[in-house]
Amino acid sequence: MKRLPVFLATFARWIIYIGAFAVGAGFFGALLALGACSQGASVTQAPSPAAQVYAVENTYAAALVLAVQYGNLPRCGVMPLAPVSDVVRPCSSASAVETMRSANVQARRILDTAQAAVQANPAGATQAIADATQAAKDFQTVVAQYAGKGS
Amino acid sequence: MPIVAILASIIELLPQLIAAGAEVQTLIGNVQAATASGATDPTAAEWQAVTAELDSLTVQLNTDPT
Repeated sequence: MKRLPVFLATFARWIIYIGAFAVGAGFFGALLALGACSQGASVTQAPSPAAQVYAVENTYAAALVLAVQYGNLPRCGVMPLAPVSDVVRPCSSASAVETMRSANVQARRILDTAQAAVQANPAGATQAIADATQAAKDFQTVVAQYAGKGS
Repeated sequence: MPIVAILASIIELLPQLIAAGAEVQTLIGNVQAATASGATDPTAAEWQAVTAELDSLTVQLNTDPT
């Protein structure tokens, strides 16, 4: 009879591990999808300058969704259950969220510039498009550093 | 009791993950459509939609969880 509580505790612990893995896998899967998406966009026939920036902005928005998702997690170290480790319960680092916010401000400025450039003079927007593409990739890198880890 | 709370927190996260996954799928669909459209420029409505999406996400990112 004493073995039943031990079994239940072990079972619950495994459920927690599986849950934490599912959360991490969800982030990781979305990041992989983003990577595949950006690669696919670069190998097909050349779209117009405006379509390129539009595609970059949507790719960027997808990365931003993940950043928001990460930022919505409870902050690490301020959770009500003191004995429970942050590894078991997914949480977000306050400094990581700040890094994402700063990166977003910077990237948005570049994306807005590119959008204005392709709308005003598509033929002369080559550099702005390259800058926007790089800014989106840089932001994806920042998000991938943190969001896939869940802490 | 903490174990139950942890389980509840993980279960709470699942709908958020599913919603985020659906949003990402929509955005990826936009990218594929833009790429497939070749020389066709996005419409004014499409520009507005993606800008509004970025603005909304930025507000969410800048808001701390309660």
